Amino acid sequence: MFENIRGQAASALHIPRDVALGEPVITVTGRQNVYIENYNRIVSFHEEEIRLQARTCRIVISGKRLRIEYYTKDDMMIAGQIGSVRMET
Amino acid sequence: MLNRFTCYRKGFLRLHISGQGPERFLNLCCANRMDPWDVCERGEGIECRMLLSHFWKIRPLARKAGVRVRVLGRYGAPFFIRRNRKREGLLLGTGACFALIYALSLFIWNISFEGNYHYSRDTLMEYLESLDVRYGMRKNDVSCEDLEDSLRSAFPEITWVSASVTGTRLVVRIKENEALSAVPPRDDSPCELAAGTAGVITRMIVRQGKADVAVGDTVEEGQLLVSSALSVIDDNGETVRIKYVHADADIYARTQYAYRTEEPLLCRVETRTGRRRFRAALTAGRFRASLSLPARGELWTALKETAVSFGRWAMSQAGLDPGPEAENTERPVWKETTQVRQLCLFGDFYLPVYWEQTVGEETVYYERPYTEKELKDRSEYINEKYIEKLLQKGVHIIKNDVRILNNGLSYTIECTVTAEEEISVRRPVSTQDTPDEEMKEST
Repeated sequence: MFENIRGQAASALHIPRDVALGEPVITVTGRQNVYIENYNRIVSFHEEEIRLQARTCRIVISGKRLRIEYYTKDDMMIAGQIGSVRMET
Repeated sequence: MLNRFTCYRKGFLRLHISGQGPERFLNLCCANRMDPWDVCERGEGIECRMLLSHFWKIRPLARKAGVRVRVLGRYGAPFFIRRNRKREGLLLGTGACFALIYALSLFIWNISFEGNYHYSRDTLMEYLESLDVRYGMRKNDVSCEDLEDSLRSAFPEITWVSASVTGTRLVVRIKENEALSAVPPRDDSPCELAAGTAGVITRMIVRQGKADVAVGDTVEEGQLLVSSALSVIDDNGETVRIKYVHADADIYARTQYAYRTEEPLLCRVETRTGRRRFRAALTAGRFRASLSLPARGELWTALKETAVSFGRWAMSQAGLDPGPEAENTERPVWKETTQVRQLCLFGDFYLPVYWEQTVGEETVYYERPYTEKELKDRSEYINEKYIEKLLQKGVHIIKNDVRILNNGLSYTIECTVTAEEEISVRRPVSTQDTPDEEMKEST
Protein backbone atom coordinates (compact mmCIF):
# COMPACT_ATOMS: atom_id res chain seq x y z
CA MET A 1 0.00 0.00 0.00
CA PHE A 2 2.75 2.37 1.11
CA GLU A 3 4.90 1.35 -1.89
CA ASN A 4 1.97 2.02 -4.17
CA ILE A 5 1.55 5.55 -2.80
CA ARG A 6 5.29 6.21 -3.20
CA GLY A 7 5.13 4.90 -6.76
CA GLN A 8 2.21 7.15 -7.62
CA ALA A 9 3.92 10.13 -6.01
CA ALA A 10 7.12 9.43 -7.96
CA SER A 11 5.27 9.25 -11.27
CA ALA A 12 3.27 12.38 -10.44
CA LEU A 13 6.47 14.29 -9.66
CA HIS A 14 8.27 12.80 -12.70
CA ILE A 15 10.97 11.28 -10.49
CA PRO A 16 12.49 8.10 -11.92
CA ARG A 17 11.40 4.98 -10.06
CA ASP A 18 14.97 3.80 -9.51
CA VAL A 19 15.69 7.02 -7.63
CA ALA A 20 12.41 7.22 -5.72
CA LEU A 21 11.82 3.55 -4.98
CA GLY A 22 15.35 2.14 -5.29
CA GLU A 23 14.27 -0.25 -8.01
CA PRO A 24 17.08 -2.03 -9.86
CA VAL A 25 18.19 -0.88 -13.29
CA ILE A 26 19.43 -3.65 -15.56
CA THR A 27 21.26 -2.90 -18.78
CA VAL A 28 21.99 -5.83 -21.07
CA THR A 29 24.59 -5.25 -23.80
CA GLY A 30 24.43 -7.97 -26.42
CA ARG A 31 24.97 -11.43 -24.99
CA GLN A 32 28.19 -10.55 -23.24
CA ASN A 33 27.48 -7.98 -20.54
CA VAL A 34 24.86 -7.17 -17.93
CA TYR A 35 25.14 -4.00 -15.92
CA ILE A 36 23.06 -3.84 -12.76
CA GLU A 37 22.46 -0.82 -10.59
CA ASN A 38 20.68 -0.59 -7.21
CA TYR A 39 21.30 -4.13 -5.99
CA ASN A 40 21.71 -4.96 -2.32
CA ARG A 41 23.91 -8.05 -2.06
CA ILE A 42 25.15 -11.17 -3.75
CA VAL A 43 23.05 -14.16 -2.77
CA SER A 44 24.94 -16.83 -4.66
CA PHE A 45 27.70 -16.89 -7.20
CA HIS A 46 28.31 -19.72 -9.67
CA GLU A 47 29.66 -19.98 -13.16
CA GLU A 48 26.19 -20.77 -14.54
CA GLU A 49 24.05 -18.62 -12.30
CA ILE A 50 24.42 -15.46 -10.27
CA ARG A 51 21.66 -14.45 -7.82
CA LEU A 52 21.45 -10.91 -6.54
CA GLN A 53 19.10 -9.40 -4.02
CA ALA A 54 17.62 -6.05 -4.93
CA ARG A 55 15.28 -3.91 -2.85
CA THR A 56 12.09 -5.09 -4.50
CA CYS A 57 13.03 -8.40 -6.09
CA ARG A 58 15.67 -11.03 -6.62
CA ILE A 59 17.60 -10.98 -9.90
CA VAL A 60 18.81 -14.24 -11.40
CA ILE A 61 21.30 -14.14 -14.23
CA SER A 62 21.87 -17.45 -15.98
CA GLY A 63 24.42 -18.30 -18.61
CA LYS A 64 27.85 -19.81 -19.13
CA ARG A 65 31.27 -18.79 -17.81
CA LEU A 66 29.74 -15.92 -15.87
CA ARG A 67 32.07 -13.71 -13.88
CA ILE A 68 31.87 -10.36 -12.12
CA GLU A 69 34.12 -7.91 -13.91
CA TYR A 70 33.81 -5.35 -11.16
CA TYR A 71 31.32 -4.41 -8.48
CA THR A 72 30.77 -1.70 -5.94
CA LYS A 73 28.09 -1.06 -3.34
CA ASP A 74 25.71 0.27 -6.01
CA ASP A 75 26.54 -1.32 -9.32
CA MET A 76 27.93 -4.47 -10.82
CA MET A 77 29.16 -5.55 -14.24
CA ILE A 78 28.67 -9.18 -15.13
CA ALA A 79 30.41 -10.63 -18.17
CA GLY A 80 30.14 -14.00 -19.87
CA GLN A 81 27.71 -15.72 -22.15
CA ILE A 82 24.37 -14.45 -20.92
CA GLY A 83 21.45 -16.87 -21.24
CA SER A 84 18.67 -15.14 -19.35
CA VAL A 85 17.93 -12.44 -16.82
CA ARG A 86 15.04 -13.37 -14.52
CA MET A 87 13.28 -11.60 -11.68
CA GLU A 88 11.98 -13.50 -8.67
CA THR A 89 9.87 -12.11 -5.89
CA MET B 1 37.07 -0.01 -10.54
CA LEU B 2 40.56 1.44 -10.67
CA ASN B 3 42.37 1.78 -13.95
CA ARG B 4 45.16 -0.60 -14.87
CA PHE B 5 47.96 1.86 -14.26
CA THR B 6 46.78 2.62 -10.71
CA CYS B 7 46.39 -1.08 -10.00
CA TYR B 8 49.90 -1.73 -11.21
CA ARG B 9 51.30 1.19 -9.25
CA LYS B 10 49.62 0.15 -6.01
CA GLY B 11 50.11 -3.57 -6.53
CA PHE B 12 47.43 -6.24 -6.53
CA LEU B 13 46.95 -9.91 -5.71
CA ARG B 14 45.10 -12.82 -7.23
CA LEU B 15 43.22 -14.60 -4.46
CA HIS B 16 41.42 -17.90 -4.11
CA ILE B 17 38.57 -17.87 -1.61
CA SER B 18 37.13 -21.13 -0.36
CA GLY B 19 34.99 -22.06 2.58
CA GLN B 20 31.44 -21.75 3.83
CA GLY B 21 30.29 -18.49 2.28
CA PRO B 22 32.46 -16.83 -0.34
CA GLU B 23 29.42 -14.73 -1.35
CA ARG B 24 29.18 -13.36 2.17
CA PHE B 25 32.87 -12.50 2.02
CA LEU B 26 32.29 -10.60 -1.23
CA ASN B 27 29.39 -8.69 0.34
CA LEU B 28 31.46 -7.82 3.40
CA CYS B 29 34.34 -6.59 1.22
CA CYS B 30 31.93 -4.42 -0.70
CA ALA B 31 30.37 -3.01 2.47
CA ASN B 32 33.86 -2.08 3.73
CA ARG B 33 34.75 -0.37 0.44
CA MET B 34 37.25 -2.99 -0.58
CA ASP B 35 36.03 -3.97 -4.00
CA PRO B 36 37.55 -7.06 -5.51
CA TRP B 37 37.30 -7.38 -9.27
CA ASP B 38 37.48 -10.08 -11.90
CA VAL B 39 35.49 -12.51 -9.73
CA CYS B 40 34.98 -15.98 -11.21
CA GLU B 41 34.28 -19.48 -9.96
CA ARG B 42 37.33 -21.71 -9.77
CA GLY B 43 37.31 -25.21 -8.29
CA GLU B 44 35.73 -25.33 -4.87
CA GLY B 45 35.69 -21.60 -4.32
CA ILE B 46 36.03 -18.35 -6.19
CA GLU B 47 38.93 -16.42 -7.57
CA CYS B 48 39.27 -12.63 -7.56
CA ARG B 49 41.77 -9.80 -7.66
CA MET B 50 42.29 -7.27 -4.91
CA LEU B 51 44.54 -4.31 -4.17
CA LEU B 52 47.50 -4.97 -1.88
CA SER B 53 46.41 -2.22 0.52
CA HIS B 54 42.97 -3.88 0.86
CA PHE B 55 44.44 -7.31 1.36
CA TRP B 56 45.94 -6.33 4.72
CA LYS B 57 42.44 -5.50 6.02
CA ILE B 58 40.50 -8.61 5.00
CA ARG B 59 41.55 -10.97 7.79
CA PRO B 60 38.60 -10.13 10.13
CA LEU B 61 36.19 -10.28 7.20
CA ALA B 62 37.48 -13.70 6.15
CA ARG B 63 37.09 -14.95 9.72
CA LYS B 64 33.56 -13.58 9.92
CA ALA B 65 32.54 -15.18 6.62
CA GLY B 66 34.30 -18.43 7.47
CA VAL B 67 36.44 -18.53 4.36
CA ARG B 68 40.05 -19.30 3.68
CA VAL B 69 42.00 -16.89 1.50
CA ARG B 70 44.96 -18.15 -0.47
CA VAL B 71 47.26 -15.92 -2.52
CA LEU B 72 47.74 -17.22 -6.08
CA GLY B 73 49.76 -14.41 -7.57
CA ARG B 74 51.34 -11.06 -6.83
CA TYR B 75 51.45 -8.29 -9.44
CA GLY B 76 52.41 -4.64 -9.67
CA ALA B 77 55.20 -2.23 -8.88
CA PRO B 78 55.68 -3.02 -5.14
CA PHE B 79 56.30 -6.69 -5.91
CA PHE B 80 58.45 -5.88 -8.94
CA ILE B 81 60.69 -3.60 -6.85
CA ARG B 82 60.94 -6.19 -4.09
CA ARG B 83 61.82 -8.96 -6.55
CA ASN B 84 64.50 -6.85 -8.25
CA ARG B 85 65.91 -5.04 -5.26
CA LYS B 86 69.25 -6.79 -5.60
CA ARG B 87 69.72 -5.96 -9.28
CA GLU B 88 71.81 -2.81 -9.03
CA GLY B 89 72.12 -2.37 -12.78
CA LEU B 90 68.37 -2.32 -13.27
CA LEU B 91 67.91 0.13 -10.44
CA LEU B 92 70.69 2.34 -11.76
CA GLY B 93 69.26 2.22 -15.27
CA THR B 94 65.79 3.14 -14.05
CA GLY B 95 67.22 5.94 -11.92
CA ALA B 96 69.32 7.21 -14.84
CA CYS B 97 66.27 7.12 -17.09
CA PHE B 98 64.23 9.22 -14.69
CA ALA B 99 67.19 11.56 -14.14
CA LEU B 100 67.54 12.01 -17.91
CA ILE B 101 63.84 12.72 -18.30
CA TYR B 102 64.06 15.21 -15.49
CA ALA B 103 67.14 16.86 -17.02
CA LEU B 104 65.39 17.08 -20.41
CA SER B 105 62.32 18.57 -18.78
CA LEU B 106 64.41 21.62 -17.81
CA PHE B 107 64.69 22.75 -21.44
CA ILE B 108 62.38 24.04 -24.15
CA TRP B 109 61.86 21.47 -26.91
CA ASN B 110 58.84 22.85 -28.68
CA ILE B 111 57.77 26.36 -29.62
CA SER B 112 54.25 26.86 -30.92
CA PHE B 113 52.34 29.93 -32.07
CA GLU B 114 48.60 30.32 -31.96
CA GLY B 115 46.46 32.98 -33.60
CA ASN B 116 49.04 34.30 -36.09
CA TYR B 117 47.54 34.98 -39.52
CA HIS B 118 49.47 37.94 -40.81
CA TYR B 119 52.90 36.99 -39.51
CA SER B 120 54.12 33.57 -40.53
CA ARG B 121 55.64 31.07 -38.15
CA ASP B 122 59.05 31.48 -39.84
CA THR B 123 59.02 35.25 -39.32
CA LEU B 124 58.18 34.87 -35.66
CA MET B 125 60.74 32.11 -35.18
CA GLU B 126 63.43 34.26 -36.78
CA TYR B 127 62.56 37.06 -34.43
CA LEU B 128 62.66 34.74 -31.40
CA GLU B 129 66.09 33.50 -32.53
CA SER B 130 67.29 37.10 -32.60
CA LEU B 131 66.14 37.33 -28.96
CA ASP B 132 68.06 34.11 -28.16
CA VAL B 133 64.85 32.20 -27.60
CA ARG B 134 65.33 28.88 -29.36
CA TYR B 135 64.90 25.13 -29.03
CA GLY B 136 67.05 23.59 -26.36
CA MET B 137 67.33 26.66 -24.15
CA ARG B 138 66.74 26.42 -20.42
CA LYS B 139 63.18 27.03 -19.29
CA ASN B 140 64.38 29.34 -16.52
CA ASP B 141 66.08 31.60 -19.07
CA VAL B 142 62.79 32.34 -20.82
CA SER B 143 61.28 35.55 -19.56
CA CYS B 144 57.72 35.45 -20.79
CA GLU B 145 57.01 39.08 -19.88
CA ASP B 146 60.05 40.39 -21.78
CA LEU B 147 59.17 38.20 -24.72
CA GLU B 148 55.62 39.58 -24.79
CA ASP B 149 56.89 43.18 -24.64
CA SER B 150 59.45 42.61 -27.39
CA LEU B 151 56.90 40.95 -29.68
CA ARG B 152 54.41 43.76 -29.16
CA SER B 153 56.97 46.46 -29.92
CA ALA B 154 58.59 44.65 -32.86
CA PHE B 155 55.33 43.78 -34.62
CA PRO B 156 52.90 46.71 -34.62
CA GLU B 157 50.04 44.60 -35.96
CA ILE B 158 50.14 42.38 -32.88
CA THR B 159 47.78 43.83 -30.32
CA TRP B 160 47.91 41.14 -27.64
CA VAL B 161 50.53 38.50 -26.80
CA SER B 162 50.62 35.85 -24.16
CA ALA B 163 53.69 33.67 -23.75
CA SER B 164 53.68 30.73 -21.39
CA VAL B 165 55.84 27.73 -20.71
CA THR B 166 53.91 24.50 -20.20
CA GLY B 167 55.92 21.32 -19.83
CA THR B 168 58.79 21.62 -22.28
CA ARG B 169 56.74 23.76 -24.61
CA LEU B 170 56.74 27.50 -25.14
CA VAL B 171 53.29 28.59 -26.30
CA VAL B 172 52.95 32.07 -27.78
CA ARG B 173 49.33 33.15 -28.24
CA ILE B 174 48.86 36.16 -30.48
CA LYS B 175 45.97 38.41 -31.41
CA GLU B 176 46.53 40.49 -34.50
CA ASN B 177 44.91 43.77 -35.34
CA GLU B 178 42.10 43.08 -37.77
CA ALA B 179 41.25 46.74 -38.37
CA LEU B 180 43.55 49.29 -40.00
CA SER B 181 46.28 50.40 -37.63
CA ALA B 182 46.18 53.98 -38.92
CA VAL B 183 43.60 55.93 -40.90
CA PRO B 184 45.24 57.07 -44.14
CA PRO B 185 45.29 60.88 -44.46
CA ARG B 186 42.71 62.26 -46.85
CA ASP B 187 44.13 63.38 -50.19
CA ASP B 188 42.74 66.76 -51.21
CA SER B 189 45.30 67.64 -53.88
CA PRO B 190 43.81 68.65 -57.27
CA CYS B 191 43.39 65.71 -59.58
CA GLU B 192 41.23 64.58 -62.46
CA LEU B 193 39.76 61.21 -63.32
CA ALA B 194 40.69 59.35 -66.49
CA ALA B 195 39.57 56.00 -67.90
CA GLY B 196 41.73 53.12 -66.70
CA THR B 197 40.34 50.82 -69.41
CA ALA B 198 38.31 51.27 -72.56
CA GLY B 199 34.57 50.63 -72.36
CA VAL B 200 31.01 51.93 -72.61
CA ILE B 201 29.84 53.93 -69.61
CA THR B 202 26.80 52.38 -67.95
CA ARG B 203 26.33 54.56 -64.86
CA MET B 204 28.12 57.43 -63.14
CA ILE B 205 27.88 59.48 -59.97
CA VAL B 206 30.02 62.63 -59.87
CA ARG B 207 30.59 64.05 -56.40
CA GLN B 208 33.25 66.63 -57.19
CA GLY B 209 34.56 67.95 -60.53
CA LYS B 210 33.01 68.39 -63.97
CA ALA B 211 31.92 65.35 -65.97
CA ASP B 212 33.36 65.24 -69.50
CA VAL B 213 31.46 62.12 -70.54
CA ALA B 214 27.90 60.85 -70.21
CA VAL B 215 26.20 57.48 -69.77
CA GLY B 216 26.32 55.55 -73.05
CA ASP B 217 29.59 57.14 -74.24
CA THR B 218 32.40 54.95 -75.46
CA VAL B 219 35.66 55.87 -73.81
CA GLU B 220 39.23 54.94 -74.60
CA GLU B 221 41.94 54.14 -72.13
CA GLY B 222 43.42 57.36 -70.70
CA GLN B 223 40.47 59.52 -71.82
CA LEU B 224 39.45 62.28 -69.42
CA LEU B 225 36.26 61.40 -67.56
CA VAL B 226 35.93 64.02 -64.87
CA SER B 227 37.79 67.29 -65.09
CA SER B 228 39.13 68.97 -61.97
CA ALA B 229 38.92 72.48 -63.44
CA LEU B 230 35.81 74.37 -62.31
CA SER B 231 35.14 77.82 -63.83
CA VAL B 232 34.07 80.55 -61.41
CA ILE B 233 31.65 82.82 -63.31
CA ASP B 234 30.74 86.37 -62.33
CA ASP B 235 27.40 88.13 -62.74
CA ASN B 236 28.18 88.93 -66.41
CA GLY B 237 28.67 85.28 -67.21
CA GLU B 238 32.44 85.69 -67.63
CA THR B 239 34.94 83.30 -66.19
CA VAL B 240 36.62 85.04 -63.31
CA ARG B 241 39.01 82.28 -62.43
CA ILE B 242 39.48 78.51 -62.66
CA LYS B 243 39.48 76.48 -59.52
CA TYR B 244 41.12 73.05 -59.48
CA VAL B 245 39.47 70.52 -57.23
CA HIS B 246 40.06 66.94 -56.18
CA ALA B 247 37.77 65.12 -58.63
CA ASP B 248 35.69 62.41 -57.05
CA ALA B 249 33.26 60.14 -58.89
CA ASP B 250 32.10 56.54 -59.38
CA ILE B 251 32.12 55.73 -63.07
CA TYR B 252 31.11 52.26 -64.17
CA ALA B 253 31.59 50.98 -67.69
CA ARG B 254 31.01 47.77 -69.61
CA THR B 255 34.42 46.43 -70.57
CA GLN B 256 35.71 43.53 -72.64
CA TYR B 257 38.53 41.20 -71.74
CA ALA B 258 40.06 38.60 -74.00
CA TYR B 259 42.54 35.98 -73.03
CA ARG B 260 44.09 33.29 -75.16
CA THR B 261 46.52 30.55 -74.34
CA GLU B 262 48.19 27.80 -76.33
CA GLU B 263 48.05 24.22 -75.11
CA PRO B 264 49.99 21.34 -76.68
CA LEU B 265 48.08 18.55 -78.41
CA LEU B 266 49.54 16.00 -76.02
CA CYS B 267 49.15 16.09 -72.30
CA ARG B 268 51.78 14.88 -69.83
CA VAL B 269 50.38 12.18 -67.58
CA GLU B 270 51.94 11.16 -64.31
CA THR B 271 51.45 7.60 -63.13
CA ARG B 272 52.73 5.48 -60.28
CA THR B 273 54.36 2.14 -61.10
CA GLY B 274 53.49 0.68 -57.71
CA ARG B 275 57.11 0.32 -56.61
CA ARG B 276 57.73 1.88 -53.25
CA ARG B 277 60.75 2.42 -51.09
CA PHE B 278 60.92 3.38 -47.46
CA ARG B 279 63.33 5.35 -45.37
CA ALA B 280 63.21 5.94 -41.65
CA ALA B 281 65.41 8.26 -39.61
CA LEU B 282 65.77 8.95 -35.94
CA THR B 283 67.19 12.30 -34.88
CA ALA B 284 68.16 12.92 -31.30
CA GLY B 285 69.79 16.29 -30.81
CA ARG B 286 72.81 16.38 -33.14
CA PHE B 287 72.82 12.64 -33.75
CA ARG B 288 70.97 11.17 -36.68
CA ALA B 289 70.56 7.57 -37.76
CA SER B 290 68.71 6.60 -40.89
CA LEU B 291 67.78 3.35 -42.53
CA SER B 292 66.83 3.13 -46.19
CA LEU B 293 65.12 0.11 -47.63
CA PRO B 294 65.55 -0.17 -51.40
CA ALA B 295 62.61 -0.89 -53.63
CA ARG B 296 62.06 -4.25 -55.25
CA GLY B 297 64.83 -4.84 -57.82
CA GLU B 298 66.69 -1.68 -56.93
CA LEU B 299 69.23 -3.51 -54.78
CA TRP B 300 70.24 -5.73 -57.68
CA THR B 301 70.65 -2.70 -60.01
CA ALA B 302 72.76 -0.89 -57.43
CA LEU B 303 75.01 -3.94 -56.95
CA LYS B 304 75.38 -4.36 -60.72
CA GLU B 305 76.36 -0.71 -61.18
CA THR B 306 78.90 -0.94 -58.35
CA ALA B 307 80.42 -4.10 -59.88
CA VAL B 308 80.68 -2.49 -63.34
CA SER B 309 82.32 0.68 -62.02
CA PHE B 310 84.71 -1.39 -59.91
CA GLY B 311 85.65 -3.52 -62.98
CA ARG B 312 86.32 -0.40 -65.04
CA TRP B 313 88.46 1.04 -62.26
CA ALA B 314 90.44 -2.24 -61.93
CA MET B 315 91.03 -2.38 -65.73
CA SER B 316 92.27 1.20 -65.80
CA GLN B 317 94.60 0.45 -62.88
CA ALA B 318 96.01 -2.57 -64.72
CA GLY B 319 96.70 -0.41 -67.78
CA LEU B 320 93.91 -1.93 -69.90
CA ASP B 321 91.37 0.04 -71.87
CA PRO B 322 87.96 -0.33 -70.17
CA GLY B 323 86.21 0.75 -73.37
CA PRO B 324 83.50 3.37 -73.78
CA GLU B 325 81.21 4.02 -70.87
CA ALA B 326 77.72 2.63 -71.18
CA GLU B 327 75.03 5.14 -71.98
CA ASN B 328 73.29 6.55 -68.99
CA THR B 329 69.83 5.10 -68.91
CA GLU B 330 67.03 7.31 -67.69
CA ARG B 331 66.64 6.97 -63.94
CA PRO B 332 63.14 6.67 -62.51
CA VAL B 333 61.64 9.60 -60.66
CA TRP B 334 60.72 8.99 -57.03
CA LYS B 335 58.09 11.13 -55.39
CA GLU B 336 58.72 11.17 -51.68
CA THR B 337 56.49 12.07 -48.77
CA THR B 338 58.11 12.61 -45.40
CA GLN B 339 56.32 12.62 -42.10
CA VAL B 340 58.17 13.99 -39.09
CA ARG B 341 56.99 13.37 -35.56
CA GLN B 342 58.40 14.70 -32.34
CA LEU B 343 58.51 12.44 -29.35
CA CYS B 344 55.91 13.55 -26.83
CA LEU B 345 55.84 11.67 -23.55
CA PHE B 346 52.55 13.13 -22.36
CA GLY B 347 50.63 16.36 -22.79
CA ASP B 348 53.13 19.14 -23.33
CA PHE B 349 56.24 17.16 -22.49
CA TYR B 350 58.14 17.13 -25.77
CA LEU B 351 61.61 15.64 -26.11
CA PRO B 352 64.27 16.52 -28.74
CA VAL B 353 63.79 13.23 -30.52
CA TYR B 354 62.31 13.22 -34.01
CA TRP B 355 61.13 10.27 -36.03
CA GLU B 356 61.05 10.66 -39.79
CA GLN B 357 59.24 8.32 -42.11
CA THR B 358 59.70 8.72 -45.84
CA VAL B 359 57.74 6.83 -48.44
CA GLY B 360 58.97 7.11 -52.03
CA GLU B 361 56.77 6.09 -54.95
CA GLU B 362 58.22 5.49 -58.38
CA THR B 363 56.60 7.79 -60.90
CA VAL B 364 56.75 7.70 -64.68
CA TYR B 365 55.55 10.29 -67.15
CA TYR B 366 54.18 9.78 -70.62
CA GLU B 367 52.36 11.85 -73.19
CA ARG B 368 49.03 11.14 -74.85
CA PRO B 369 46.36 13.16 -76.67
CA TYR B 370 43.75 14.97 -74.58
CA THR B 371 40.31 13.39 -74.35
CA GLU B 372 37.35 15.67 -75.03
CA LYS B 373 36.43 15.80 -71.37
CA GLU B 374 40.00 16.56 -70.30
CA LEU B 375 40.23 19.36 -72.84
CA LYS B 376 36.94 20.79 -71.62
CA ASP B 377 38.07 20.53 -68.00
CA ARG B 378 41.40 22.16 -68.85
CA SER B 379 39.75 25.07 -70.66
CA GLU B 380 37.31 25.52 -67.77
CA TYR B 381 40.19 25.50 -65.33
CA ILE B 382 42.06 28.17 -67.33
CA ASN B 383 38.89 30.23 -67.61
CA GLU B 384 38.17 29.93 -63.89
CA LYS B 385 41.68 31.08 -63.02
CA TYR B 386 41.29 34.08 -65.33
CA ILE B 387 37.87 34.95 -63.89
CA GLU B 388 39.27 34.64 -60.39
CA LYS B 389 41.96 37.20 -61.24
CA LEU B 390 39.34 39.58 -62.62
CA LEU B 391 37.09 39.15 -59.59
CA GLN B 392 39.99 40.05 -57.32
CA LYS B 393 40.10 43.39 -59.13
CA GLY B 394 36.46 43.97 -58.17
CA VAL B 395 35.01 43.32 -61.59
CA HIS B 396 31.40 42.22 -62.00
CA ILE B 397 31.16 39.51 -64.70
CA ILE B 398 28.22 39.86 -67.11
CA LYS B 399 29.09 37.38 -69.85
CA ASN B 400 31.74 34.72 -70.18
CA ASP B 401 32.64 32.69 -73.31
CA VAL B 402 35.27 30.00 -73.79
CA ARG B 403 36.29 28.63 -77.19
CA ILE B 404 38.69 25.81 -78.01
CA LEU B 405 40.35 25.97 -81.45
CA ASN B 406 42.50 23.21 -82.92
CA ASN B 407 45.02 24.44 -85.48
CA GLY B 408 46.68 21.06 -85.98
CA LEU B 409 49.78 21.93 -83.98
CA SER B 410 48.21 22.99 -80.74
CA TYR B 411 44.94 23.91 -79.05
CA THR B 412 44.11 27.57 -78.61
CA ILE B 413 41.83 28.33 -75.67
CA GLU B 414 40.14 31.71 -75.99
CA CYS B 415 38.27 33.31 -73.10
CA THR B 416 36.14 36.37 -73.75
CA VAL B 417 34.65 38.12 -70.76
CA THR B 418 32.20 41.01 -70.70
CA ALA B 419 32.26 42.80 -67.40
CA GLU B 420 31.13 45.89 -65.58
CA GLU B 421 33.64 47.72 -63.44
CA GLU B 422 34.74 51.00 -61.99
CA ILE B 423 37.13 52.44 -64.59
CA SER B 424 38.19 55.79 -63.22
CA VAL B 425 41.81 56.35 -62.20
CA ARG B 426 43.18 59.46 -60.55
CA ARG B 427 45.58 61.68 -62.50
CA PRO B 428 47.29 64.57 -60.73
CA VAL B 429 46.84 68.06 -62.11
CA SER B 430 49.90 70.26 -61.83
CA THR B 431 48.17 73.63 -62.33
CA GLN B 432 47.32 76.11 -59.57
CA ASP B 433 44.22 78.23 -59.17
CA THR B 434 44.36 81.20 -61.60
CA PRO B 435 44.21 84.59 -59.79
CA ASP B 436 41.27 86.89 -60.58
CA GLU B 437 43.43 89.69 -62.14
CA GLU B 438 45.10 87.40 -64.65
CA MET B 439 41.74 86.06 -65.74
CA LYS B 440 40.36 89.52 -66.28
CA GLU B 441 43.41 90.55 -68.34
CA SER B 442 43.23 87.48 -70.51
CA THR B 443 39.52 88.06 -71.18
